[in-house]
Amino acid sequence: MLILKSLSRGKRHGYAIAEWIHDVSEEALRVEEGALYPALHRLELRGMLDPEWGLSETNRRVKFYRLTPAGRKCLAAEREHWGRLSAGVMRILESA
Amino acid sequence: MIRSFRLRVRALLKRRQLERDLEDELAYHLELRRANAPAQAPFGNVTSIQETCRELWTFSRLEDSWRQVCQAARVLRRSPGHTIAIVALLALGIGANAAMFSLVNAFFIRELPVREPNRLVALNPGWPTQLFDDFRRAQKSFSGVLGTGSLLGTVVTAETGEQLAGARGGIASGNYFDVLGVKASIGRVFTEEDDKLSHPQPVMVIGHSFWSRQFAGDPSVLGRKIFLSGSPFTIIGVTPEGFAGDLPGRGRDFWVPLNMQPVANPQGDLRRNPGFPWLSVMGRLAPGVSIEQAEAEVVYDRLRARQTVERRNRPSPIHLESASRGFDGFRRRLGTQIQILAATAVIVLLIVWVNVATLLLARGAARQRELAVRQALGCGRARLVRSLLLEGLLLAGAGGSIGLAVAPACARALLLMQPSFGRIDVDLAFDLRMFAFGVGISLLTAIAFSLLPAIRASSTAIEPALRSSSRSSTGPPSRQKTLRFLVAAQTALSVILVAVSFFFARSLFHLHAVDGGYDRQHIVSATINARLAGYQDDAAQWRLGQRLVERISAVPGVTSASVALCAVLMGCSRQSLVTMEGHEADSSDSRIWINPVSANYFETTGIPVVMGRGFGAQDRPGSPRVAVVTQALARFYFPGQDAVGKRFTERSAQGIPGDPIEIIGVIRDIKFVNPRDAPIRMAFLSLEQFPGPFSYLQVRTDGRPEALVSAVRQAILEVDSKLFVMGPEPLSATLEQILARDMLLSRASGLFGLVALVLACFGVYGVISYLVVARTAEFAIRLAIGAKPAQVLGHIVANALKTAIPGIVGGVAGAWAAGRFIESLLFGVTGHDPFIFMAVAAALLFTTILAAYVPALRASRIDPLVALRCD
Repeated sequence: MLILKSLSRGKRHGYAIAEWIHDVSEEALRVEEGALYPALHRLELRGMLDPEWGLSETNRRVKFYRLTPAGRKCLAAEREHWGRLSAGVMRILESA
Repeated sequence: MIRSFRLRVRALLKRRQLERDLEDELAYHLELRRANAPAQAPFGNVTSIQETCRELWTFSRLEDSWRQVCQAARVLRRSPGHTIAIVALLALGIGANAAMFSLVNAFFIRELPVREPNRLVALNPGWPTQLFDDFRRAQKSFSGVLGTGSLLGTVVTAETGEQLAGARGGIASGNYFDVLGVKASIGRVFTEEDDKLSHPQPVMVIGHSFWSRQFAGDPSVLGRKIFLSGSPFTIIGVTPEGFAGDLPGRGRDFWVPLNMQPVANPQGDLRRNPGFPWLSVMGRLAPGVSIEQAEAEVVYDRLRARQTVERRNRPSPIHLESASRGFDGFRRRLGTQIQILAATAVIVLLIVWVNVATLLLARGAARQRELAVRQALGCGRARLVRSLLLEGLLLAGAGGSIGLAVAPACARALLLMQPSFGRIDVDLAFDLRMFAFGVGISLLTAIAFSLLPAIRASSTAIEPALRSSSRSSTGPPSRQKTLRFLVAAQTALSVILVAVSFFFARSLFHLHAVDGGYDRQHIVSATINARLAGYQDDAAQWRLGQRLVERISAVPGVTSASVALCAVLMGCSRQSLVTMEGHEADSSDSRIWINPVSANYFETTGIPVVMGRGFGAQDRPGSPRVAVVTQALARFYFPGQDAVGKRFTERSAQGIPGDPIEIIGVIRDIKFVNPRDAPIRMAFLSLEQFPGPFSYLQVRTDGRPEALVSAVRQAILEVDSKLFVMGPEPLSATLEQILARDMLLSRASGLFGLVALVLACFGVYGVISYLVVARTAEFAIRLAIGAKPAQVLGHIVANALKTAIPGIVGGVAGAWAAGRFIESLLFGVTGHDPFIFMAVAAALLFTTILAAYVPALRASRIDPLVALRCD
């Protein structure tokens, strides 16, 4: 979900995604590379992401990822699900 | 799902590209990271990430399995002798079973290739023509009712004049093809129009296989003629391929309309014989009618229909049976045999399993180190078992394919072992069911024989296996125990098969040895139909008989000849009600067989007259009417008395007694048709006094009867070239046909028994060789410290016997049970004949010793120096 969110404003490459999550969460969350790349590939296989190859300033091949409509739909669904879940958890925690 | 599959397939095709992409992607990440935050924790294991990602993109499981298959194939290729032996064994076992299954499939499972076969119902037993006609009109439960019968005794001639001896014709009501829903592949089938009682058409529909056989599939066959009993029938159509009639096992070559029967068949108009139930009747249930409803109605209809028909016979109760697989006459006749042979084939398969398991286990010992090394290198136990199972699957697959490929030929060969049925037409074509059976049995086989070695191999402790040298270890004692158990099991199964084959062989021997009461060695017999050639009245037929006897007696090599209405081994068609002297009042069974014969019948057939006299010159028309009877008849009616001089009268169909006939002689008991029969109660009359039809000609010779066959046929045709003659044939050949079932069982079970014996030998040999090799060092030491070679030899053979004897004992118990099962088929031998059990036990003991002797001899010749230095 976080990966999908990170791509909701346009294409990014792997490192950028990890950095974005790290920054936006104010350094609370860090996605390990060991989990990031398999997750990216899995999403790609499931048709949530569209890959696009480009070149970096250092003349390296860079793989950018972009959300597909399916990915967007999935993000919305996940977001709602998470919202309900976290709200529920909060309510339980605050009930005492 | 589909998208991911497509992507993966693309990745599979561009494996390089995938690798490069992964590499590049991660490399860039690394580069950025090094530039931005060099102080942070190291990246982690790049290779591992790559691997995880790669796995996502590939069919990892599948590819892994494929690799394992390749590996298994490599293992098998490495020891070709071993592999070939196992595949051959499996092909044998699976082939035998697939062959039996193809028979079971053809006879018991496969449905007729007609429209909606499951709506067809057979109305058993047979029906007379008139009753069938009346019933057909009256009934309401069926959308159609067809009647069909065989054209027996009809001479079939092609346009060229060539006799088509093997052609099998059928008679069928006009709606036959319509009710079955069979359309012609070329031309047309006949209909009710062709079968009008007032003017039936001489048309004929021929079967597809007959068409290809006789006419080479020539489409111009339509309009050509085939002659039945001399009358032309026009071919109007050919059935579709695969349709061979309504009786599995006996295909029909052609069909003619029911009402053409009097023309086609020499038996005369069967319609005039209202009590003769010769038609097989099948109906197609009307929509919505169940078989039970139909049965209730049929019983009622038949009762009502019968009131309009004069019948002398007792009404036989009718019962309905599903006919989706056709009439079951043949199924009933062959059923028991196929069951027994199928059971035998299953036992052969069991033996093969045990044998293969033994081989694999013994080999497993040799592979112990390999497996231990693999395990030590981190190969999981599950994976190890899987790879062993895969090897089994490959072996079973190879064996199964070969077995399936040869199965139809085997099944056909098996049927050929049974000569009497002549041609058995079964559709042994390969179908889905066969395929499923083959795959199923191969899978089962793979699991059955490779599971045990697989479990055993995978539970081996790694360390001792690696440490021990491969030569001097016999494996854990439990392995030896398992091997011994397998050998014993195999021996036991073999005992059962060998015993069964002994039973049938002995039974067949007894059947051949039965003294039928007549001479079997020196007689040829021919079937002659005089009426067909125009001899209508009794006197004319008898004059023909006399001329035949005279002419044939003049043939060189013939010592005497006679004609008779009934002939031994062929059967009798005349049974009469008689009143015996002294039995006028009682109601004891008064049916006896009557056989009018020419005067020298007893000399010709070699049946000795034990009391009184045979027919002589004094028994002429006008002299007192006389008869010769069998001992069985004399015993039955005149127990303890002299039958000679007693009188009896033959009652006519209306019950009016005829003139008294005096018994002048008693002949030995004869078994008229089957050696299993009880001695027949028969009275012989002289054709001289009772002129009438005859059906058979017997010829006696001093020499070999086979030598006379063509000369006799020639002589018969010289008397009248229009005569329809079947044969002649030596009686011994006729007997073979009567004993065909016993012969089939004896030959087939003999074959299976032999296979079992060879397999048992093979198994013992394999295991003993393995043990000898494993214990080489031990034997070398024994020899070195003074054991004599003979002692070592004896030790090993005794060892083998110790293994086999429990198996033999268990097998004898199994054979005892099997004997019970087949007892009803045996003749002259009981199902628990101790002689047979002893013979089988002796055979197996001998086999075991033989099989153990070779490796034992090898062990006794070990050179201690060479053997011990090796380690």
